[in-house]
Amino acid sequence: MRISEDKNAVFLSQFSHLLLLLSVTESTSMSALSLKNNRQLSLSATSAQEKNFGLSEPEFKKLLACLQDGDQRLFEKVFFVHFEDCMSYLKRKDRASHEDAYDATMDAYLHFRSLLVAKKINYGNLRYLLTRMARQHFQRRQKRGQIFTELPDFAGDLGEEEADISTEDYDLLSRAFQSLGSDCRELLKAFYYARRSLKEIAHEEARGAPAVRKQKSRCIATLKRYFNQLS
Amino acid sequence: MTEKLEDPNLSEEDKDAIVGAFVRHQENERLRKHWETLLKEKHQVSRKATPPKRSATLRKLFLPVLAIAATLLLLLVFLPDLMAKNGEQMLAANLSEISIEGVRSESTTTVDSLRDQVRTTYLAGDFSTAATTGERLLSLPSASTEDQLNLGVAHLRAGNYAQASQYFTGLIDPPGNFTTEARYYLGLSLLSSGNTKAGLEELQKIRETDGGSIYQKAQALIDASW
Repeated sequence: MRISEDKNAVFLSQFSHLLLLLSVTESTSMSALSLKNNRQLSLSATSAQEKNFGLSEPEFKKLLACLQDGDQRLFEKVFFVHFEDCMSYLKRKDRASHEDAYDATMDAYLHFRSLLVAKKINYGNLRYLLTRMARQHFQRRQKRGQIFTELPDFAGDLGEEEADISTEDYDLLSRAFQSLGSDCRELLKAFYYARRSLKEIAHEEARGAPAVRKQKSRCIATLKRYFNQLS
Repeated sequence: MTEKLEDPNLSEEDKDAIVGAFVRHQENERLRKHWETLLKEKHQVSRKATPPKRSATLRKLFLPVLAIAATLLLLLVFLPDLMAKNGEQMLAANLSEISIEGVRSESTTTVDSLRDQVRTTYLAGDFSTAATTGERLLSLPSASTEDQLNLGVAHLRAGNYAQASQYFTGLIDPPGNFTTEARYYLGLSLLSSGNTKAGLEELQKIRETDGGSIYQKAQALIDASW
């Protein structure tokens, strides 16, 4: 169930406009979400930096670059300060329990990081997007869709639906993956998790892109073979 | 998905979808654990709800309230003992108050003469002589149960607790006119001899209906600290 890259690209351009529109139309109904220490998570915040967790656009680009290099520290520094605020919002707005709010917020953060790495999020209103994603994840966890009909399914539209892997298959794949050589593991992680292109990987390793593509194919074939042997 | 991966004709796109989903899921789980630790250690946010913090007012009140509660508890524990009179002192006072009963009469007979001697020696504080005289009196056929009570009292005051207890017990069973007094004095004898538990048990047998004054004395001794 994976949306193609083209479809994502079209959506993203529409999404940015939709996001801005929503931030204006909903500012009256969700004007100010009061938070601890008198901080206000306001959807009608005027400054662009306020809407983006204090990040300027160049800083946001730096954050993306760090994430793509596998360095999470800046992301953690910027966003973890707001983790509890996001939980409080879910507790207050959706009457989420502490554990549910924590889980949904954690899901949203992981998802958000993954979208940033995939360059599917633009600088604009990150605060609003992250909050909505947290609510969306809470909704998914609670499976109470009807209550949230007023919330557009941003996360789903962003093409992050993954192939379903059963727990049993996941365990087998984990074992197969651990049996791979470290070069293969790193290559697959760089390509699938850090979302780096084969060209980028090849450039860093001073190799040709076709060679890296062949290596990736061999790694997947080996993983598949190990998986079949285990299952 | 197992079937798909086993398919030799699996397309590159499907392989990408499956392997990509797996790698992302695996790495996300690893990152989730790392973030959980980070949030807990650096931001004090954990999945387990922490109990609500006490307000500043509550924190200020906590120590004074605790001090008052501790004081009250101490008073509750120790006050009864402080207020309770010392049993041994009370017993000594009670013993000193004991007088022997009987109307003084002209000593026209041997019995009357011996009764006068008992009284005289007892009042003089010579309890041993009073007891010895009382023994002689009690051996006479015309001796009364009152003479037995007085003899018991004389032995009690003389410190002969075993003999005293013996005469008092004789007045309790079978019951007679001096059963309550005998029980009270038996209680005092047992207490005086150091058998506190038996003495108090004997005093507890005295009911309010047996006589207000003797009941109150018995209760005071029961409530005293021993």
